[in-house]
Amino acid sequence: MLIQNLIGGIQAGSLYALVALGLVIIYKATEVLNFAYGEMVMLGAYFGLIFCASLGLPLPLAFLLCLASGALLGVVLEKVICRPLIKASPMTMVIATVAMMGILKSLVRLVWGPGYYPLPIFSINPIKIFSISISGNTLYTTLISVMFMAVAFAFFQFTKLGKGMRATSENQTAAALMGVRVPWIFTLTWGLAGLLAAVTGLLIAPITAVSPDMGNVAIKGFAAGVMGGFESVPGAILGGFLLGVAESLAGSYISTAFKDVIAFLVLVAVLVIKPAGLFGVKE
Amino acid sequence: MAKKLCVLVVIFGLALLPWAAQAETGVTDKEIAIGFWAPMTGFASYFGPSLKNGLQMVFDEVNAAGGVHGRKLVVTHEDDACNATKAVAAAKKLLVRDKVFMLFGGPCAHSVTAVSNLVEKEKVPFLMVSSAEEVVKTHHRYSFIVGMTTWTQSRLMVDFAVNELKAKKIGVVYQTGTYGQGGGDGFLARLKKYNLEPVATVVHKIGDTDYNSQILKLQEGKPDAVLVFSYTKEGAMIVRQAWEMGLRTKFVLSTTANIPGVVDLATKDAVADRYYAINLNSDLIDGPGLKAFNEQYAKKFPKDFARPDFPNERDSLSLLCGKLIVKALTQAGKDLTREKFIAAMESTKDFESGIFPPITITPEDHDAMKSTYWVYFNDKGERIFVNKLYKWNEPFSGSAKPGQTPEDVLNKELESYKKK
Repeated sequence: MLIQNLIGGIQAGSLYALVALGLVIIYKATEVLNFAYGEMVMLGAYFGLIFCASLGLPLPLAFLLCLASGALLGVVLEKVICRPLIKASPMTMVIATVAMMGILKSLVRLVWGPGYYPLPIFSINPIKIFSISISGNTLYTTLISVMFMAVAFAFFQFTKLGKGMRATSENQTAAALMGVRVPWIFTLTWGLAGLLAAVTGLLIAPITAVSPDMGNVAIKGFAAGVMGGFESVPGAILGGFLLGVAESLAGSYISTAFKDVIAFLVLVAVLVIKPAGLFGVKE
Repeated sequence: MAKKLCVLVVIFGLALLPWAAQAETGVTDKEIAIGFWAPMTGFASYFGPSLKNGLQMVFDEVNAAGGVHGRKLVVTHEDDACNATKAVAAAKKLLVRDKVFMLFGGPCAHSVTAVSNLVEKEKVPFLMVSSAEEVVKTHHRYSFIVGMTTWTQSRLMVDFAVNELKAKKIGVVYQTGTYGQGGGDGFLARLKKYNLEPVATVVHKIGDTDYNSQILKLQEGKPDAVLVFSYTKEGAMIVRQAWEMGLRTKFVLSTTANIPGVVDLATKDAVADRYYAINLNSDLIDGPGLKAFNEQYAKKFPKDFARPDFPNERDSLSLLCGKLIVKALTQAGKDLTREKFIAAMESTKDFESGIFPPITITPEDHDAMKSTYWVYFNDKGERIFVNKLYKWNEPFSGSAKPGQTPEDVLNKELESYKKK
């Protein structure tokens, strides 16, 4: 039972980690807390609906098109909403992202209606190892999430562009002085976050079906980011997995009714001990 | 002096004229004003068009034939966004600004409960499509509920699991919130009739995506059947994840789980030969018995018809309500008053709509639906209609008599199980 719980927790945690990653990379580079990230995830799923279900494209092609559309969405949102408000106060920016959240959700409801659409893009039978069952969705979700996290991590650590983004997040002025094109970095960051949002949407959709309200997963992403330290990419990832596992264990060993409560209690406990999060740096 | 008297009589007569033309609020010689509210925006806006469309199908037909006693039925629409405060505001607007004769709306539990309390004070008839047992657990003279309550559904689900599936070890799953809690409470109460306790009781939140913990607990209990009282998506995910985790048992679900598209959500393997749900209609919603309804719907609302799972049970419930309203207005007569309408509603006996089993409403019990069919998925994953009517046959129900409290209703039920 413990191993089964851990598997379930890791699957849920991988999704939370992916959401947290998208939130954190935007925040690190641009200092914007993007409350519309959940809706970007939701739109990623709708892109999947268009390319996989409506147009019936082969899955690999549809997947790539979804990622491209997600990246494009991120770029558009940056140019249209964030760039004009670049000199505004943080509160103004927060309100702008909250407004964006409402607008995106309403637009989706207007076009597709309020109902939900199944999107069973991963059809694989469960695997059984001794008495442990691993569903197809769990396998795909966890592997693809971890892969994208690894790619993102490698991108930030080893590529020139990634280092430029890290430099911008540390100090925009210094980065600009060193020749980093800061506005371009902002655009790239939002594009990357949009791509990650699309991946997350595609991974969640087969589990929950595609609907305008599926972006609520962002709440868990925020919690994961806070737990890991909102300025730390590895922290966000670890926070996601910790949150998923805490939920799963709490549900099994304490009470299913208090799954969420226990998980957020763990979050509070972490913050009491380390207010900046596990990997965060105290200012 | 005589001249002054004449003037006074004319003035008095003129003052009385509007009153004479509109003896009852919302009723004129030409029209009956009906107030409608439902969630047309927000997270539950999925329900709104269904409630609107079914009613419109009936009213358009009746109006085309000349109306009821020469009066056309005119509907004014408001939106509650599935929020109780907004529902009360919408109801007040309809009553005060639009001066409607009666209200029709639903289905969100908090909204209908709040409006039921309002209409009780205002003495306005209110017919709702909902499953909210709260409306009947305290007696409301002016409210009528169509759509099987969570009270009745949960108990019939237990009966089905025990009597039809021969289950002796039963697991229970329900979602948090009014809807799920009503179902969960109902399961636990009704199991006492059979001297059974659940082998596992688990809850989940609306919107949960991972049911790992819940399914592990169910697996420990090794149930013959699991009763699930959740919304559509959640119920389907529970069934699917249970199958993926190796839990091979039968699932009995509420009416929200009965949609054709559930096989896409839960997968064919997960539902085949193990998924049973309440089916309120007299056939599958897309079955031959409801062909005329579907054809009419497709013609009238082609855009909604093209969406997944339209029309659905709520459309048909709304149509039933439209027919019920027309029947009661007709029966109440040309000299229409709200009290006459209430009396007509309360004299509804074995009312046939053609798409549901017959319904009955009495002065003591305004909860119209007490019988249901079932649907299940066979080993090929095809939906099969179980053409056997299951009725609530106990001498008690979830409806409180005037002066009774919800605790009285529960105690009466539990006492009857002890006697057996």
